[in-house]
Amino acid sequence: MARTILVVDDSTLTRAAIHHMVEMLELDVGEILEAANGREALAVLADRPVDLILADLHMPDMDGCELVHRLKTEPAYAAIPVVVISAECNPGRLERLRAEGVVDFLHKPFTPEAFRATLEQNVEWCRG
Amino acid sequence: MVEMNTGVLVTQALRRALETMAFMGVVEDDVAAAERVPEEFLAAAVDFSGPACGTCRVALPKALGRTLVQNVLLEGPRDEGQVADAVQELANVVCGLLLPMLAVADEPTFEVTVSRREDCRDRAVWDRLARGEDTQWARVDGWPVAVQCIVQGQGG
Repeated sequence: MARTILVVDDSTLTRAAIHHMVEMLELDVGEILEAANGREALAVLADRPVDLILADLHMPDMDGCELVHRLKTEPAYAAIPVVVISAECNPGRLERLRAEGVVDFLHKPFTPEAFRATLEQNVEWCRG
Repeated sequence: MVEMNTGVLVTQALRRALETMAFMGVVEDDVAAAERVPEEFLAAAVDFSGPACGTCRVALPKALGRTLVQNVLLEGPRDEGQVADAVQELANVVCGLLLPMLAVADEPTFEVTVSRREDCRDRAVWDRLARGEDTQWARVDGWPVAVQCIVQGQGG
């Protein structure tokens, strides 16, 4: 079954880079959707089922912390695995996000190898 | 408390950001790079608060911005907006790497703003960076890169 990934980041460069990395992993991904902030991500989710969310934290309009809170308190979205990909350096915030249900963090800057390892460790269908 | 001697740390953060994001080598502490004034340049900044308050700013020639996009995506930028976006993301990443190095405490509890583009139409902006005592210069692919870390005061 082809999966759908939602990439949420205000950086078009990072969204495009993640898009390339997902393609390189040759996962069974049918579609990679994109959103520039939390509000856009929720609009995408209202319209389309998604199997994995890769989300930045520092974004305008609605940031990643608010997005995670909305996702994990909404039954329709709570089970979707969320991996945070961010330059965030506040350990306390990352712990709070983990307590809310984020499965893992990938710190920017990251290599394709680290990206692969993070997905494989945390998302069953990403394992080769 | 923060470590106030930031120059070495700033260039370390830039080196790690560019090497990891874009496989680009950095020649550090190249003050002469400031004298090569680019025709067009881009700048982005992130404000931070916490153990210290201040601003982290990155400025580089637009031509190097295009190379940055090319190296990250293995294809050229789709438009000029993506080049400016790349500089914003570089400022975001450099700041994220720098702040934990500045903090002396075990747990850096900085808050940061979303990275913002800065107006670069005026050559005076580059000149101010070149004169700034808190600006570190590096050379990347032969181009000058400025990273300015202004610590305005100690936070709570």
